[in-house]
Amino acid sequence: MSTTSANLDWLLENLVDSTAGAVHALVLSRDGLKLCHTSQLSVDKADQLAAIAAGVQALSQSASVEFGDGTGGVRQSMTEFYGGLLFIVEAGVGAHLAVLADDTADVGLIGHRMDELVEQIGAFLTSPPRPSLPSHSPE
Amino acid sequence: MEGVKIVIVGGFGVGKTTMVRSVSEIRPLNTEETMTQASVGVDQNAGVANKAMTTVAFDFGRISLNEHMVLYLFGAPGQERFRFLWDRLFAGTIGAVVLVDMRRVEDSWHAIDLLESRGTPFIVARNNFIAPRYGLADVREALTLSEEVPLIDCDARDRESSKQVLIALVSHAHALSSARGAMS
Repeated sequence: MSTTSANLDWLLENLVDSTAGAVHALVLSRDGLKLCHTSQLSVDKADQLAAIAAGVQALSQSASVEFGDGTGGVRQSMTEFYGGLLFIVEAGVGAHLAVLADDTADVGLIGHRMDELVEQIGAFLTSPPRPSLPSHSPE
Repeated sequence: MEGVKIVIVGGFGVGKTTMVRSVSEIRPLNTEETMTQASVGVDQNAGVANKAMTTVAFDFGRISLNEHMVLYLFGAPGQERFRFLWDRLFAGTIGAVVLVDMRRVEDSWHAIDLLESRGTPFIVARNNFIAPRYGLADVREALTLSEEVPLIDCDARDRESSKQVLIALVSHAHALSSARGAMS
């Protein structure tokens, strides 16, 4: 498991290093917890980003349900703010991939590189549902 | 027609999403996500072991109390990692409902502390997913709640019961603002 996690960390580092403008990358569970991230992102910032990205994706999903054509979920969420950009895409089951970029970044390129990564290794970027516990019988 | 904003707060798994769903007259905003293995040990679901979904942004619903007043309901997420949303949710509210589950009463302390320090009017509603074992006086003591804060029982799954909670909050907020008006 640690080997897999180390490999994922390396792939995220590689994504950031090889994509102009990309600064941090993080994989998070749909319920808002970090799974792995690039080393320049501090643990505190990674925790914050995981919660924020889960919230953004959940709201985007609702926008898709209410106003989309019903054929699918969310392809990508993108937020532009002063000093940067935030991209989020669905990764494997139960997980999202988030990338923070500076405002010189090429929006199309970042999106493309994120899709590429998910296509390659989305099967490993997962956070499966909790096993359902047997309900306790009243004592 | 007057529109007022109300926030429903409380600990993880206490029934906030359930209450918004029970009373909303429009399709409620749904930002629930499957609880994943990443949150084992972080989101403690003791007492609600069959809980499978959790709110990661906020709930939203709407209910018209009468032809003059419509309530906009915002349900806050319960886990600590989403607390950064709370300040924004509280902006412009007339008051808050704190939902309490007696199996995990300590989860409500944070919400009560926060509302007291902000000076936001609030009431406390005990959500009885199971039949209550203690009287409301015991609940008041466990929460060290002052006598001025209304405390009532409810069933968040029941539309009428949830509506009574909202009416109690609106009355309380109204009484407080009238009292303040009389003092000034």
